[in-house]
Amino acid sequence: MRRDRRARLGDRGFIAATMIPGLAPIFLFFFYPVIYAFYVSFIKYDLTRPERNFVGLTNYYKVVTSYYFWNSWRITAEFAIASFVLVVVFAMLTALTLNQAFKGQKILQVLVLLPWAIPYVVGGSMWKWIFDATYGLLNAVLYGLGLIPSYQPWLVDPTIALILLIVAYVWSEMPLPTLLFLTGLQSVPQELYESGLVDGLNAWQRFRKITVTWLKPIFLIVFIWETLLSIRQFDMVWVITAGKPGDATALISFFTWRETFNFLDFGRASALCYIIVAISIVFIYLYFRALKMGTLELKVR
Amino acid sequence: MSEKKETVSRRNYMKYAGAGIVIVGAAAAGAYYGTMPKGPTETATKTTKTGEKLRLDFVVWTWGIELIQDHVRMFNEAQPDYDVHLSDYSQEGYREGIISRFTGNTPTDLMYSSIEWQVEWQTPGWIVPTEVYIPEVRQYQSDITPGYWPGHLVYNHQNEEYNGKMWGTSYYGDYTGFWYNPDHLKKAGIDEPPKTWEELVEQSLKIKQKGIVDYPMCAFLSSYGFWQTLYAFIVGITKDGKMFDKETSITPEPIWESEDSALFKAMRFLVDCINKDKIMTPDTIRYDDPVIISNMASEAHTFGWLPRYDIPGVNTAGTKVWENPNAKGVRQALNPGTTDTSCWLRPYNMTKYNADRGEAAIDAQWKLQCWFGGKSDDNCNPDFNNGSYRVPKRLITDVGVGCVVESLWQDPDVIRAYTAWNTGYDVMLEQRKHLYLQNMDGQLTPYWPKWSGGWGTGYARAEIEATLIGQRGTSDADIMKVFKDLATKYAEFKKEAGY
Repeated sequence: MRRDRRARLGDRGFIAATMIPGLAPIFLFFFYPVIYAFYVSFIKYDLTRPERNFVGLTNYYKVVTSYYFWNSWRITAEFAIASFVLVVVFAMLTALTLNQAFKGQKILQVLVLLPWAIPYVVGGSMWKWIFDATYGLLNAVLYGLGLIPSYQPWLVDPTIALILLIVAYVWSEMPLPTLLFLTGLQSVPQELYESGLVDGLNAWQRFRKITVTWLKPIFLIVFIWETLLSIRQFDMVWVITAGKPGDATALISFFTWRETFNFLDFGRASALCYIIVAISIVFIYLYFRALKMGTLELKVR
Repeated sequence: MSEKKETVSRRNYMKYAGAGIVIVGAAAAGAYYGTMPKGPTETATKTTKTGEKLRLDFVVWTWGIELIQDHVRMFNEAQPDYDVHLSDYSQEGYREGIISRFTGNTPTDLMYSSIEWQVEWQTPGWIVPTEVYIPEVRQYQSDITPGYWPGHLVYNHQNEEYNGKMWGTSYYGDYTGFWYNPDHLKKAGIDEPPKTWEELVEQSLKIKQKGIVDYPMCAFLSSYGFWQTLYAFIVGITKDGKMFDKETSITPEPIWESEDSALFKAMRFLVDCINKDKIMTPDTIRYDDPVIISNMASEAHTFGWLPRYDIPGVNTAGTKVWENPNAKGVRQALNPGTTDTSCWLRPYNMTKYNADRGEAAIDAQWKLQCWFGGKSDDNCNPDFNNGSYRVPKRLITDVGVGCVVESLWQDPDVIRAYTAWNTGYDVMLEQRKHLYLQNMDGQLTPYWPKWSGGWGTGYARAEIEATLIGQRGTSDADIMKVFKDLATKYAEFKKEAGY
């Protein structure tokens, strides 16, 4: 009996010991900061002031009633919806193209993946120069084609600046969804399409009823991934527009940076982060509901 | 007898793994707590053992880092009892870096600073006026260019004894210069740069109509240049123009809610230039140092308001005017209108940490401060009467920074350097008499950074930017509406800060 228990304890000790190297960093660098940030969101934590008082929901209240909150959410929604739709549509179209056998298909596959290899900051800098008012390629092309009378400062027009930001972002975000869709497309059994043909479905009906249905789990991943990425997008905004003109392109994530590193108000910054997380979770839940998927189950054979 | 298989249930597996993690977490937290510094006083005592070099921590921003490193090396060689350690942060992230150092109790003896940050840093007691510990620093008052002098003093300190004392010497001071491209003027048949704002508009329209450039005017209205450049228009258009009622006050009230206000006149001028006459590029709100330097150097604009120290960069990037005085390149003129312009100062701040370390550390810090911002002898010892401004002078002659030391303005090497950069030495001499230290107007409060956005972004900056490019409308009423909102928000930020 005692020997059995000792053996069991030894096993358990061994399990715990083997788990520690893997889980300790996750605990220290993921769970601990997340929990600590939650704690900080309830205290007055302004780095320039010595006091650290518990203030209840004050930080949340101050953030929600701040001058930027609702406006930046509006801009974030515009950015997220537009970029999300464009990424999904273009990625799908690109995947459908790449799923066909044609000359140069391999080269195109590599080209499609290229933006993935370029960090947001580098890609953003590149686009910033393309949009530049004095030396920009966009101006050079449009001016060369006679479409504009002179070089234009595109990034100081609030609407155009947001559109150009979306263009740059969509470019950088295309590769992964394209790859996922392509993988999904290549896994659709041909028999399904043949059955569809026998049943008299036209091309659009086959696409809608077979391809889209088959790709549902991938759509779910792409929807969640793209929504979360666009909500928390900061790098491109910072590099290309820095939130300008005024705050016309300042997404909500931009203000987490501003509260943290500009105002050094960690309490409010944490509260804002948790509000963003809460809203992101709502979106994820809604996607699951909308796609009628209880659990995420991706089967690719 | 059936063979019993040794298995561990998932519940137990998670239970023991979780326990292990908690133990490791607790041990790590304990270890971390044990290594946490307990405050500046405790760490300070470790630094001055007999026979050991006394360590000084000197913090700067990165600009001209090779030159700073060279000066530190010279000091360390001349003063074998000391060991100066240099840390640097980017200019954009400097304030945040310094605050992190202080809150993390990282040893810091002496550092670069800026006037508007001092109020924020004096409140928690991180910095102290040098004059309290080294009274002789006051000798430098007699040799500071008057326009920069107010920036050397302590205001609004909770310790009343500190108010009016001198923070210390300074790294440099400079101003927003008004620059023009003489070649463009010549092409447009204009004999001399404008002296009034009306002339400036006329000349700009003429240059635009002749197709010389699309937007003759630009200004450094991005990055840390926003407020200082805006003030060049405020004080250039209105004599003694201000945004607030009381200078250096901790509770100044805005005075911009009238069409006679200096801010309104400046905004009206800029909004018209950008939106009505289209003679100033709207992209000016995105013009930081590198952009304005490259755009002035590439002759994309005729007139520009940018830091005076940027001009060596413009003329270097362009046409090396110092090699050929007749070559192209920008030239300086007095700011139109009142001829007043905005200026700023970057002082050295002595820290409370240094003061708490005791006399030896204070003396060492003073030697270092004098070496970098004051007068020293050949061995880097402070010597106001017979020493010379070695580092400040070299900063001028080698890289062309601004001069806050009155006696250096007449130094032959300084004159030669400023003339060589072709930055208009005579104009500089005159402009230095017409400087307004913009930080004195409403910026010496703890709530200024959040309301204004300071060097980065914030409420007022975003609103003013949007107004400049016509995003809030361009009529007088539209501008006044923005101004009312600015005042309302100002009151809110002030109240929230407890004032």
